[in-house]
Amino acid sequence: MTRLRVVAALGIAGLLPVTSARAQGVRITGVTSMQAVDLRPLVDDSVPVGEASGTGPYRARADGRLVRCIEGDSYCRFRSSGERELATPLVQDLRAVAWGLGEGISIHAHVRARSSLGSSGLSWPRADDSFDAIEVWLEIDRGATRARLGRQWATGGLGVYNYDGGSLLLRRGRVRIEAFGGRSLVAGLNEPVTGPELGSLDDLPPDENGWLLGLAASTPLGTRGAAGATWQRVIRADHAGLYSERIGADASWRAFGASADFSVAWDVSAREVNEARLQVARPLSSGLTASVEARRHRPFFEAWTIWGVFSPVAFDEARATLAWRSASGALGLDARGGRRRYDETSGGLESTPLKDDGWRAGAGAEWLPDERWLFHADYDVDIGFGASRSDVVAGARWMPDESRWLGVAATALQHIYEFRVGTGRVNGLRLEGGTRIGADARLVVDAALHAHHQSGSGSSPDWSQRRFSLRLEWTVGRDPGTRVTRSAP
Amino acid sequence: MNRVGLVPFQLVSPSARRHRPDLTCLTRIVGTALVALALSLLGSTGYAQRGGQGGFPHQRHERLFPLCESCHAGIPGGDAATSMPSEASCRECHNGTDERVVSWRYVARGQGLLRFSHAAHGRDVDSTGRSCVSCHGAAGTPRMAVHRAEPATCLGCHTHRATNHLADDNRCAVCHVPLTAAPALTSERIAALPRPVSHEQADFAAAHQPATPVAAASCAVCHARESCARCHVNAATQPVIAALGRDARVARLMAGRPAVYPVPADHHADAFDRGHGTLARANVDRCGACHARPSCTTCHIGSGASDVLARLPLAERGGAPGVLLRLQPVRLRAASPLLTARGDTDAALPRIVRVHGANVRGTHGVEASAGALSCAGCHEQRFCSDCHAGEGTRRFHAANFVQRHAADSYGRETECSSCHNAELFCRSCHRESGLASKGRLDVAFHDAQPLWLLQHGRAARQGLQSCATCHAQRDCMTCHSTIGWGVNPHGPGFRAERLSSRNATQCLMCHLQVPGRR
Repeated sequence: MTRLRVVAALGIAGLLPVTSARAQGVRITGVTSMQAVDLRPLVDDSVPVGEASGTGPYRARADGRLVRCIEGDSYCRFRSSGERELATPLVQDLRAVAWGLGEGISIHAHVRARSSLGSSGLSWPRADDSFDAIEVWLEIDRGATRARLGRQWATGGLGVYNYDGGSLLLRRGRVRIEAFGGRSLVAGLNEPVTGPELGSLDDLPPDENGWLLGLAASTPLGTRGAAGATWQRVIRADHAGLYSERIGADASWRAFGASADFSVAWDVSAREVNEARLQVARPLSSGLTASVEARRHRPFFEAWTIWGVFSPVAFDEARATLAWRSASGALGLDARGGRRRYDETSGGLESTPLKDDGWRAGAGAEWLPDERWLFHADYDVDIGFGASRSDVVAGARWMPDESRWLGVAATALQHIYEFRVGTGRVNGLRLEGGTRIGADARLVVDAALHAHHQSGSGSSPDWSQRRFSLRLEWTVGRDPGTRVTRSAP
Repeated sequence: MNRVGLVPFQLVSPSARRHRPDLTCLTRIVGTALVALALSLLGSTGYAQRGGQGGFPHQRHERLFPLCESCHAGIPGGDAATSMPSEASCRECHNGTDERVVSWRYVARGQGLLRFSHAAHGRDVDSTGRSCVSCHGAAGTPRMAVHRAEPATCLGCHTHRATNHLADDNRCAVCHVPLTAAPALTSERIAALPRPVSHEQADFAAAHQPATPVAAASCAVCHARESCARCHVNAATQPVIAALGRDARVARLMAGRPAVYPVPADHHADAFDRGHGTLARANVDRCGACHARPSCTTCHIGSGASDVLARLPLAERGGAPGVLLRLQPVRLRAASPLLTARGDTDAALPRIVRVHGANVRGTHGVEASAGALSCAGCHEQRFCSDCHAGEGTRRFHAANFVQRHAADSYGRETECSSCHNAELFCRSCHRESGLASKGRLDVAFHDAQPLWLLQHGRAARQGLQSCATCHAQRDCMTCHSTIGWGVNPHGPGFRAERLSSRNATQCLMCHLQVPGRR
């Protein structure tokens, strides 16, 4: 696999200069992002049995902390926050587009390199995956037809679907029909499903690659609406079964000042609805807009896992939003809320009930007194099964001109109830700023401090964090269709 | 056409001509000059001065001149030389003996706005019974109580659908020449021209394109090319505007006046944001009246509309600026960064355009998937992947999301697996931070729930995706498999054959035998 990546990297590195020499134009965008995250990971800990009070498998330490005691073991075990560790992931993205190689021919590439600046034992997710070719494709776009060949990262009504293969798009007016297929990759990761990445984290990874086949179509519905649908099937390479088969459909309609948006994702192989939403919104008088939404959600699991056999249940949710914006657009307010209820699980014991509903509510305000200032505040509360929180964010942003800004935001977050982390409060302060460096580069910096205060009985992990990030974005080359390089905003 | 202008009489006192003027004379001279100037200005409005025309006291001469032609003999025939009396004619009486001496000279003004031919009208005088007083007099007044002809008088015969002089359906060019052909008018007079009724209508500025050549000729009576070029970006290429001609007086009037761009009614229509591309392709000139190319590229940074954009004008320095559009940034999620079309968070903030509705947070996915809006028309491709590229972005989630994401994950405010693979993305981080299962069940998982073991089945069915972010499959198979404790995890309604038909190996992971035979 490493050899394959090296070959791919060299291929892309070699391709771009050759391409830029032969193409009419090339644009390369680079994003360098560096983070420094300081936190205390959980570590295994233990106390002698004699220091834990109570009987049975769960006992308490003197400070109230629950510990697990195994009969016959001289120690009771728990997890506590370890020493502070600093993770310093470094990610370099490069996106390149070269065009003008012939009528409608262009090459697109998006590659990512990862590394770490420090030597801390705390590893950032995927930090050990030093190189990824996220997208690399050749495109031929001629009138009513567009063909792509290579590694593609596509998004649609079913979320991200990435694959190594080809796609053919036919256009007739605004009607679009696309067929695509190839080797399926892990969604959002661009790794083969049989690769070591999954194997390192799951002891029962897929034993065969998957082949993706799909069709997508969209069409306008008069001048007021549009509809689209996507069908996808991922077949085991040995044809012994499916990893997934899904259909997504979306429709949008506007009439009488109102809009209706509908989407559904259907798991064909499980014959279950994964997600169905219908949202209706209508502007009212005086800048008010109201929307209501009905939703049903049931998680989707690919068939190479066993998760689907546990009969996960769906929940139904109703949501509503009321938003107002002043005529000048300077002031915006909104209030939102929703309530959800889970289907009957037919599991667990009646004597140990579990919350089977939830609700959320929130309100926000945004004020732009002039072109230089933005003030915003949001409060949200989400009370439900598994984890609940209430949090408030308030901040301001100052933009002396269109190339610089400085912002500050204060956050207060309360974990009301959580299966794993428990109840606590996190107060935070975040500073951010950005500036353009010339016409085609931008530097963004932010720093944040989040202090965690555990509440309730017993001491528990400390999730206080310090974060810093730096992001440099730059572009060289010009945009297709222009004769000059990109200009300053 | 007769060059009929105003006919001011310049009265000069004989004594003023013979003697050095004293203060009284000087005052009289100045006063006379002011009166003459005032009369001239009043006449210049185009309306008749009550009580006499110009400075000549017609009514005092009523018994002296039985016919108008006595002094204006040339008017009916169009003879300019005899249209006005000569000074010598006046001197026949005003000779200093019979009457005081007067001196006057006829000053022919340049072409004004009026398109009028006494000769043409004079031919009809006898045949229709009309006479000079038909236009210059009034019923019930002395014959010589003349005044300038009023527009309403013209309309008495020229009944071309007009209800009044300034009616919006009037044909101005019947009686008026184009402004550029009326050099006698000063800028001030042009500025003071009366506004037709139609110009006061609320939607006039948004829809005033002349529909016919006749209507265009009406516009030309008061407007020059500079009138239109103040706002119209494509003025130079529009035949109707180009036909107006340039005029320095109008240019001076327009200098410094801001362009005005009212929003046409159809821009508020339900389908305008989706359908304006079709409208633009059908009639790009209509767009180009108000929009220069930069106003479109505020949103259209992709290639989808390039064919239309190429047909739009570029705003020229000193010309009409065109509608300056600025995108109103939107928040796709509460407390998330502001987003503009280009995907930047530095937000050029003046807010005029809000392409997406207030509910864009919940609907943009549907709109994109259904093709309701062409995302690529306004957004670079990286705009989507900036948020939807998983680990590659920090823009999608609000600040401190790592500490607040648990509730979002359980409540599925958005579908995490749209961007993240739970097995890899979530579990790797949970494992690194100590949250994830390490394959042992002997430590205090779910510390705060001593009775967790009795609850976990229900919790798993309600939030299985969250389970998978920490637990590997074998954690569950320790109990829920034939190689473990054999606890059945299937819920009511579980269809084994359906599962088996899509992927039998899935069954074999837990069942070493065929399901149902254990």
